[in-house]
Amino acid sequence: MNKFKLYHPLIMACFYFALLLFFGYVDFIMNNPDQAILTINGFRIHLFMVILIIGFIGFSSFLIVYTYYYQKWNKGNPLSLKPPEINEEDEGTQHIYTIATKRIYMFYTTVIPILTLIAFYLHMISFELSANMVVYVLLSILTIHYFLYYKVIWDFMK
Amino acid sequence: MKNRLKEYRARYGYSQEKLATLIGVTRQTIGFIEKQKMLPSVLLAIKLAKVFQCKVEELFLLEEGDEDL
Repeated sequence: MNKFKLYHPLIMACFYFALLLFFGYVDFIMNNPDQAILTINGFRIHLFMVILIIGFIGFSSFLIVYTYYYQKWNKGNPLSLKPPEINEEDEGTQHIYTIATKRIYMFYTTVIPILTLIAFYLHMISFELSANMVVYVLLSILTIHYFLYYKVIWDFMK
Repeated sequence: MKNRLKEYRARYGYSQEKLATLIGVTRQTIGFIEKQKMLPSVLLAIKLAKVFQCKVEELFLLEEGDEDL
């Protein structure tokens, strides 16, 4: 297993966590536009625009570097939905894949029914579920999903 | 289940990388087997025994709890 495949779940966990934080900040500013400008010692800094620009540059750079290493170490199509960490013939990494997918399967069989019940309950009490909340939940699930996979790799490698 | 993989590897002067190349797996797989993080498949166990010119039972040893049938 090359280093890219080894660290891929961790990279994706960090990526989705960063995306979650970024989305959270953008959502916060959209609801509190007065917080978009920071004043320090009389200097007005348009913090929101700075964060947006940094975020755009950061995510674009990540995608470029990721695509480069994906093609270099995985020899596959970066648009493919198949994660590189399961694209492995080696017995040891297949063993990791078996244990990791088992744990993730258990995670989804627990989380999906719970979230369904929560959504149903919120619907019953006429609570308006915004699209933003759905995005937060999905990004959180993705972060945990990849973290769980990497935890198995970590347990094997230590 | 214990194994004597590290002992045999040292006897033959093989690195994990070298042994992995000989039997067609990654270095990490050899490490996992040595650290008893995984049990090799039958095929892999036979290949390892063949490389070290010994029997599979000499490489992989049942422990006390493993013997219960």
